[in-house]
Amino acid sequence: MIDIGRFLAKTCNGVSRRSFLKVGAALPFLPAAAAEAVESAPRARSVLFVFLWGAPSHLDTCDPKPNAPSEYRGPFGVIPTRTPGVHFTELLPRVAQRSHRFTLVRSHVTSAPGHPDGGTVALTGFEEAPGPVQPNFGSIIARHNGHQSGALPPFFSIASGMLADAGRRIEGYGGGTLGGRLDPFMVGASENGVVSVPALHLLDDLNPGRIGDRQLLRTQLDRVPKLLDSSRVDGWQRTYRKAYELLSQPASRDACELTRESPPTRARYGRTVFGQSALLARRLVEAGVPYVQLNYSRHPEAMNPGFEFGWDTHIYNFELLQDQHCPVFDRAFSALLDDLHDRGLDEHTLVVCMGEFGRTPKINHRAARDHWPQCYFSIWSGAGIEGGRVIGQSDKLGEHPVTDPLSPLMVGTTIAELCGVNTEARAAMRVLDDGRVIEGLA
Amino acid sequence: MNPRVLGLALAVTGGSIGAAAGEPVRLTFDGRQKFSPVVCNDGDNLVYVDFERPNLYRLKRMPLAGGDPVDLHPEATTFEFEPAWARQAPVYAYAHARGTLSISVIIRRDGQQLAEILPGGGFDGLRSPAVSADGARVLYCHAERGRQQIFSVAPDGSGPVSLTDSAGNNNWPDFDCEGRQIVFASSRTDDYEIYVMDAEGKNVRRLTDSPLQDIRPRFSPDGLQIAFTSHRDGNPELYVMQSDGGDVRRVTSREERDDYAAWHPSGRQLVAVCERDGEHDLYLLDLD
Repeated sequence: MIDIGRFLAKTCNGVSRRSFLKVGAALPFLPAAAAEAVESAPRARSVLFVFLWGAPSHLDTCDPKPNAPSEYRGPFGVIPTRTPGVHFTELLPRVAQRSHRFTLVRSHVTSAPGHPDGGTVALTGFEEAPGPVQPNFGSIIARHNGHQSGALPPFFSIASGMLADAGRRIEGYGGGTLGGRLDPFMVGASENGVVSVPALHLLDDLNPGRIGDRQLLRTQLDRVPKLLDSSRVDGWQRTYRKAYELLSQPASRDACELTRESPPTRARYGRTVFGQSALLARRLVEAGVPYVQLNYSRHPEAMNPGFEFGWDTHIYNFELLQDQHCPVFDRAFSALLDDLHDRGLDEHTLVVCMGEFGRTPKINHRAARDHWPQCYFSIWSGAGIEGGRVIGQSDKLGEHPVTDPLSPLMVGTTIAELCGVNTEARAAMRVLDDGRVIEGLA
Repeated sequence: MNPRVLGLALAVTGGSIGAAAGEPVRLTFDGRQKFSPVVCNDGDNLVYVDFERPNLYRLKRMPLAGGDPVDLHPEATTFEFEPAWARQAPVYAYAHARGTLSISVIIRRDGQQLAEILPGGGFDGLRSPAVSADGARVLYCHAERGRQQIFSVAPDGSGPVSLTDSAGNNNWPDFDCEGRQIVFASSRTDDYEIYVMDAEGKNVRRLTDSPLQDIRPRFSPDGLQIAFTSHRDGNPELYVMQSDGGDVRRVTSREERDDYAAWHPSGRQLVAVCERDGEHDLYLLDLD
C-alpha cells in the first residue's frame, strides 16, 4: 500500500477530520478521481442504498389511502408518524416513530414495469435496452470516491448471490459502461450473523473467519477445477482472488465480523437475514466503504419454490406483508437509522430506501397487488437530509403523483450530487446523462 | 375437549406446563422466524412453520413438553405452511407450494394424503386451512374477484361450499370444539376485526371493534374463549376474550412481537411465537 497523501482539516464545529489518499498497488480498486474528492466536501461520504427488490406496496406501507374504496385501501389500519399529518399503515410502527429522521418521497414513477428491467432502471436510472447497460449508482460513487475505503472494495452488495428474477439477473447490478472493475463485491449474512462470500461458495467450510487457514484454503482450492468446467475456472479464480485479497487482511475482515458487535446491538436489528445484513451494512459504512447496496432478498418473487421471498406479492400480499416482510423490515430499518444516529454516522451517511416500483392500488382478483410503475415511494435519511418532511404527493387512490413525478434517474443524480459527483464529474464519466437532482434533497 | 387428550395432558404435565405461574416457558431455541403453531390431536405434540432458509418454509413437529423439532414431512421438496389439526382425529391440512405462485391445500389422515384442493390457473393460492374437531369438515380461504372468502369441504375435497360473501378479506377461520361455530377475521368494513358465524355461514356476529387489526382468532378447547392477536396497543400482542366478545384480557405486553396463539389442551396456556431480543421462538404462556 502506498500512501500518497494525507489531509488534515477542521470541520465547522472544530472537530478534526482526516482524509487519506492511498493507492493499493496490488489491488484492483483504484481511485480514479481522488484529487477531486479532496477539493470538495460532499455531504455524503457513504451511501447505504436499501433495495426492496420485488417492490413493496406503497398503499400498504408508507402511502396508505384509508378513505379509498375497499377495493383499493386494503385491510390495514393507519397510524400517525412522528411527522404531523403523515400516516403509515400499522405494519411499520417503529419506522413511523423515526419519521423525524427522514424525508419521505411519495411521487416516484418509473418506465419499466417488470422485474429484471425495473431493477436495472432502479439501480442505474436507465433501461437495459437498447444498451449499453449503464453503471449502477454504486459503481459511479465507487469510481469517484473509491479512495476512501482503503483496502476494502468501494462498492458492496449484500445478498446471498447475484440478484436475479427466475433465471435472469439484473443487468444493472454493476459497472456497466464503467467496466467490470467497478462491479460490487458481494457478501451475504445469515440470521445468525455468519457472513459469507458467494464467490467462495465452492470452497467448503471457508468463510471470512477461516480464510487465514492456508492449509484449508490450499486443500479447497485444489478441488475447484474438479467442480467447474475449464471455461469457468478462470473467471472463478479472478473473483476468488478479489475475495481473498479482501478477506486475508485483518482490518477488512473485521468489517465483516458481526460477532464483534455486542449481543444487544445484534438483537436490535433482529435475528433475521435482513436484520443482520443491515448490521453488516452499517459496519461497512463505518469502515469507510463509499457505497453499500443492502438487498432485502436475492429474488423479487414471493411464494415461488426455490426463491428467496422478496416483495413481489401477486398473491398473499396482505399476509406476507403483515406476517413476514414488514415486521422484519420495520425492526431492522428503524435499528439502522437509530444506530447510524447514535454513532454519529448519519452526519455523512446517506440512506436511501426504495423498491423498483409500486404495486397496483386496486386490489387484484386474487386479493393481492401487481406491479405498478406509475407511483411509489422512497425514504431518504442522513447526510444533511431534513427529517420529518414529505416530498411529492400521490392522488387520492395512490395511482399517480399529483406533484412532479420523480424518476430513478433523478434518484441516481441526487445520490451522485450528494456524494460530490457533480455535473462535470458525471460528464467526464459519461454517466447519468440529463439527470436532474430532486429539489429539496440536494 | 376430548377427554382422552385432556387425560394425557394432565398425566404428562399435571394439567399445564410451566415453572412459576406467569413465567413463559421457551420451547424452541434456534431463534429463526416461526409461524402458525398448532397442537396435534394426540395432545402431546405441536407442529409449526420454520423459516428454515430464506427460500424455504418447512413444517416441524416437536413434543409439546419440549424437545428436538423434526421435519413433519422429510420428503417435502417445496415449502409448506399454515398447518391445521383436528382436535379429536388424526386429520390435518396445510398449504403447499405446487409451483410458481401456485399454492394448494393438502388434507391428510394418519399421514396419508386424502385430497389436494387445487388453486385456479395462473397466479393463485389457497390458504388458512382449518379442520373440525372430528375431522369431518375442512375450511380454507380463497380469493376471487378481489375478495377473499371462506370455503368448507369434506376431507376428501368434495362438496365445496362458500361460507362468506363479503367485501374485503375473510381469513384465519377456526372451528369450535363441537364444529358448530366458526370464528374468523374479516376486513369487510375496514381493518380486520373478529367475527363468528355458524358452520353453515349463517348468523354472522362481530366480536371486536378496535382501531387497528384483530387477527388469527382461535377457539379454546372448551369453546368458551377465543385467543387472538391485536395491534390495538401499537404492536402485535396476544389477547383472550369470551366467545361472545366479552371480557377482553391482554395476555402479553412487550415492545416485541407476540403472535400466532394456539391453545394448550389444558385450556390454561397458550403456545405462541414470541419475539425476544430479536429472536423468534415458541413459548408457553400461562393464562392464570
